[in-house]
Amino acid sequence: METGSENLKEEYHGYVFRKILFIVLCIIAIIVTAAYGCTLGGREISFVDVYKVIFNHIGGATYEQGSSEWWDDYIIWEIRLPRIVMAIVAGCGLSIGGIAMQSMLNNPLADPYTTGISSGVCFGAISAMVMGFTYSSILGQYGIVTNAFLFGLIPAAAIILLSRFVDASPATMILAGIAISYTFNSFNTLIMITSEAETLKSVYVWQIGTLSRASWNDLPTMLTVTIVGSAFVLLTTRQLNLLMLGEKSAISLGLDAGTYRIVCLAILSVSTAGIISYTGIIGFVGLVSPHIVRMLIGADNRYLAPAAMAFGSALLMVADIIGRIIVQPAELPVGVILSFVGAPIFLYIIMRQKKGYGGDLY
Amino acid sequence: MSDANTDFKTGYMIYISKKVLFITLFCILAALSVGLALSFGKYPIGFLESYEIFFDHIRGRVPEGEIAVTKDMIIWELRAPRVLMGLIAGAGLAACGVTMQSVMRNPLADPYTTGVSSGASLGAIIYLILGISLVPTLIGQNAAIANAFLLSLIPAGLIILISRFMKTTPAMMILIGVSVMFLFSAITSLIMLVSHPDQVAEAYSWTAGTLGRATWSNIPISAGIVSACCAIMMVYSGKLNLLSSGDKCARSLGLNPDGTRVVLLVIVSFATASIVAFTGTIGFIGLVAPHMVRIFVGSDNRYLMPASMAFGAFMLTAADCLAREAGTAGLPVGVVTAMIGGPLFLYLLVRKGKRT
Repeated sequence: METGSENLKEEYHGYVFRKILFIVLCIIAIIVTAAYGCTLGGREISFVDVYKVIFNHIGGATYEQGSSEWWDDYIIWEIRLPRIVMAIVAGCGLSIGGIAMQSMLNNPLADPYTTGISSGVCFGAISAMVMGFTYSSILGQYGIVTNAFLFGLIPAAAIILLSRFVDASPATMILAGIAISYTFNSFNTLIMITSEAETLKSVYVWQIGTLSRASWNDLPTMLTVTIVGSAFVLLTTRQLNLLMLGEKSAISLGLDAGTYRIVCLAILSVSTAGIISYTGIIGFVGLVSPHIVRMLIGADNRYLAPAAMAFGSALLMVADIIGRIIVQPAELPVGVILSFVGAPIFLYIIMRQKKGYGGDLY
Repeated sequence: MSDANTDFKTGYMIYISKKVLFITLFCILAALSVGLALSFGKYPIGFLESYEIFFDHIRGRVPEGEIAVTKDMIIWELRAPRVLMGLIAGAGLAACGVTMQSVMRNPLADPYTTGVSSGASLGAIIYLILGISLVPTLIGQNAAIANAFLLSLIPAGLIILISRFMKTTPAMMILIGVSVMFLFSAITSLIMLVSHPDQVAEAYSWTAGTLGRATWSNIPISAGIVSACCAIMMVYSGKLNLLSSGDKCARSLGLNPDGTRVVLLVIVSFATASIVAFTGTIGFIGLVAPHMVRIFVGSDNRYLMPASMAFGAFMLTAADCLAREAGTAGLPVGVVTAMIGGPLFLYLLVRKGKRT
């Protein structure tokens, strides 16, 4: 009996250890690839120097304007780093959205956009672009982002309003999300079909999603919404675990499932809309990175959530770096690369699951 | 005792007759929408007159007089192919939607969940922008259609291939479809990115989904494939009920869930591919028509299937009337269905409250 319990304990520790190891590995990968990402570009700055420059800057070092160090600092800090940080933040925020949606709606097909957020954001951005806002001016940029963000909140607001009249069950939320996103998307198609070919193309490109517009100005908003969303999900991973057992089990274990879902939806819509109104509709990360991580370390949200955050950040950043080096000096939008790189990996991991992957297996 | 028995029987009869009533109602709506669609347009033709002209032509009566000839031409050559394509596509997509939602046990599933539409879009774009035809003998519209059809079968083919080597759960099938879809749309985006804005506009309008490309020469193909597939899906509708109650239930009731899923997947992909190749991606119908009908007739697939088919046909044909005449060049029909259907669907959801 004694040895049996010892074995069990050991096994459990091993089980937890593997999950923590995975999280740590992802974080190390992020740190290493981030520095590699900073070495890319016209001016040659070595891998080790990147760390030096970043640490010195954080330490408050100042350089004589125009000197070689000053240029290194300027280029890394003002040009290359914003993009890297944006990739990390966006990847993290979208994965956390995917995890929460999949668990709370109990549906492997759910992603941050299931409730129609992307269609709203898209509508906001498209209408701003058609009204003549462009990315060439600061005003235009803010016009597009603000419009996209505000319209992105409409679908979630509608669902929350609706849930006062109907129950907030997963089925209702999904179906209401479908209805709203189709309505918005029909407007999007309408605008795109009737607009000039040039506008259509710029809108199309916007939709794919890119990080090339990153600057420090955009980051505070994005970072705030992502931190709030992630903190909420990380603090309520136990509730998500209960919801995965099904509605009845969750309620009988003392969770107010409907209210939790509404709160979760409200917070996540703000964070998702806050991210994609800057970057465009980056697909794939939110849907797939939770699945990949779940296949590797299991579906316990207490570990899955941080692991998928780290993995999503790494995935998005690596995809962005590949997009920048593959057709130099031009670059490919990260949305395209993600699918190219991610889809085969995803297929491979699915096929490695011998017992068959149920999407929500414990 | 016998009283309770008769009560039970009457209750059941009422329950069934309500469903049958709805099916009949939806069929009547579909039939009416045909007349509406035939008579609707810039050239005025009466509602009843349009049926008359249509059936006269089928019976082989030759129209007399200049006006009659013109009317016959407009009905038969211009409007009828579009209306028929609307009926076929609407019924076919709705039936595929019902099947997919039961097979995958997922309310988010639709005919395109396995990636059919991304394959079709890619196929069409390969021809429209790059000029590559997979069937070298074809050119023009037909080459785009053939490309779309062939590529749209790839995702489902892959799912079936994988399912031969390993156990595949519904979630896995969906995710395989999703990953192929992402891959295909990435290629599509890439092609669109590097091409000229005018070409992008052309390709975009191809993929947006319209009934405008329907002609008499392509109706027999899609009508044949879709009606054969629909017939099989009808036959399988009882088994679908078992599948949607879970794999364990299905197996204990004597059904092989894995085999049935694969068979149904093949059928759905063929039907959807033969619609999408001719029309482009018409969304909404396949996903929402089953949900709407489910609110009225419940989830028993034996009744849900025919009711959804009739309702889908009605919805698409009626919406196409507006799509055809709106603006100067018309709209994609998917836009109209979603614009009217989206709010309607929300309204139905709210009204039915907890019964969703």
